[in-house]
Amino acid sequence: MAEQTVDVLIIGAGASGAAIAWSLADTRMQIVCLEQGDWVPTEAYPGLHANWELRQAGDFALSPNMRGRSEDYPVNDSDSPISVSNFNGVGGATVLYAGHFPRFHPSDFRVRTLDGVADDWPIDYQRLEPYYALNDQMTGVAGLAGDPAYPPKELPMPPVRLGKLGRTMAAGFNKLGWHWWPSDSAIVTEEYEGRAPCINAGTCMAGCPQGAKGSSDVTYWPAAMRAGVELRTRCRVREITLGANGMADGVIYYDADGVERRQKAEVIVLACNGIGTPRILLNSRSPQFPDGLANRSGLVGKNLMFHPYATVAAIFEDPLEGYKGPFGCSLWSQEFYETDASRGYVRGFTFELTRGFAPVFGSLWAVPHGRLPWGDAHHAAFAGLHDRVLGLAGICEDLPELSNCVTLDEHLTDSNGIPAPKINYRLGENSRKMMDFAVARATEVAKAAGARDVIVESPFKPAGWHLMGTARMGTDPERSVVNEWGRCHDVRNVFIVDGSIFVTSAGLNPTSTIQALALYIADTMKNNLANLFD
Amino acid sequence: MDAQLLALVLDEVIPPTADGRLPGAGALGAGAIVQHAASATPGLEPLLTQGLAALQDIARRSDSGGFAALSHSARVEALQELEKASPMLLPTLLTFACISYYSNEQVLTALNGSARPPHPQGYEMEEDDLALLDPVRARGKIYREC
Repeated sequence: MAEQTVDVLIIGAGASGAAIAWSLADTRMQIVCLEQGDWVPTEAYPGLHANWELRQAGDFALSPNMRGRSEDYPVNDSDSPISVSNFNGVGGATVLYAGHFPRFHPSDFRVRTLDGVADDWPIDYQRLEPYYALNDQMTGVAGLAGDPAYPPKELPMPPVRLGKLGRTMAAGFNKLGWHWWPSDSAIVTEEYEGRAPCINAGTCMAGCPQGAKGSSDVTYWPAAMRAGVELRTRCRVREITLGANGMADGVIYYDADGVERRQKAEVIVLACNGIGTPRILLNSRSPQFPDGLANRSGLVGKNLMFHPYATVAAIFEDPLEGYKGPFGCSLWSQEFYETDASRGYVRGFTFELTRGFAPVFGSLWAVPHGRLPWGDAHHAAFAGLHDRVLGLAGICEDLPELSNCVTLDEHLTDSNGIPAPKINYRLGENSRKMMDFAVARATEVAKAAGARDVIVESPFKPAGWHLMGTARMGTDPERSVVNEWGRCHDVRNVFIVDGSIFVTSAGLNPTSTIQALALYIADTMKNNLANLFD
Repeated sequence: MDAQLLALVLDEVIPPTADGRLPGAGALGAGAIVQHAASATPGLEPLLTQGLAALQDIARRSDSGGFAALSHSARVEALQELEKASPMLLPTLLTFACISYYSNEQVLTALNGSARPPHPQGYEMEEDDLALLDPVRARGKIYREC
């Protein structure tokens, strides 16, 4: 096994690795995917167990540092106001994501031209549109056609229910005359391709034992494996190696027993997202690439973009039935998505509604905000909060800045001794102004919906789940890491298909675009197989 | 750490409900999670041990029998005095008390009518009236063509 050369080696079995594996499988090439984590067995999901809430602070925490599984790698994010969230396993972060599935807007690909900041993408909405549609079908996206914030699109099934909580906020948006719409959600609302529909249990961010949420372990991977893709779990890649011809010739990885192994490949696809991908490239040093593989531009790891979350928790007098329904998905508003210079910043944000806290997290949220005292007043205070709080998050577009970056930590390593990533990140001035505006508007609409009080958290520190920009796409090798179809400028048999190739972040959840890009890159590779490295 | 004293304190941090339906956090066993956390978290054990010792000292100024011998109101006064001297202790205890209390089956049943996990039963939700979207539709397209 160790000396056999495979046609395509994919590193990472998350959203993008799964999509490209499935798409490339029809070439009948020999495709292997190495994933450092494992499958999550259905019975392991917290939602099936009474202690499900507590496990969200343990083995199913969003933060790898808190989770601390052996398959996780630590992240030094002490120099960032936003902490990194991810998941290392088959499905990657989609295992724990909320399932929000918005597409980019056409304007998101032309940021420099329209607003004079950052850079335009080398591709546009029209190029990606068929891949968005294909990805929606593969994932099983629920939503309602006709959203006036988007060009026309069809969705495979009806939207998730708004519930009392969603209808309450919808009334607030209507009162102000603001846009809102049922979210496009990667959550099946009816039987779909053998997957059972959502039962409104609300544990999405601790994983979905129902299989209704479109994490890529239940969408792409079963089909990719049926088509012949080999997925090897508990295999952690340390570095990509170079052959004598200057092309990549394989990887060195550690198997589940910690044994160092080598896998040769003709083509290598990186699919480890905005932190994991630059980490591997930076760890892949050689005389030809002393600063990391494919890094002649010096841009590997640079331009890290999160989405700063400007959040408002709105407290209502009456119960909201917030425990019913997908946690993160009910409705969104893109009233403030497109640039309006009069607001004092450029670009924009999406408002997304989250449902309520369960009792443990609700109480732990309230204590540091001074809303839940000890002593005789405790029970009345708790009763005034329980099932009466909803969240409204402004997902703000983050502009690329060279100083926001991923490097290798000098001391921290994972369980195999591989240097861990370090994050240096500061909020930009444009982001700060946008966040302040978003908080003010969130407060306004919450009050319009009847909220008696709001609590602001901006930025919401744990929200580092969108990881973008650290191996950006472009046509100029001096100013980008990969070309317009994901091929590294410097090493032509290495492709990158994850969020690291984003030129800009848009103001919304990126998974739909990450997967559409992976499908687009796969198709482009297939159309250029005869001269893939020219 | 004095487990009995810790339980009494936790019963003041989250006291029994006025209607008697639920006991306090100490009686429901929150002390165990505090002791576990103290053994696993550097710096927490001394904070708790020293804090409880200081509380006993405060209590003994009122009654030689210590905190256990005090009335409810006197216990609250003692804790309030301790809070001024050691402002981290009560929020820390409250945090652990909440983790224990609000994951307790008896408490969850009282709050939600059931302590069952969300899966596999889930929850029923009624259909939405999407006429709510009429004003949004009426306004028309809001994205930029490009």
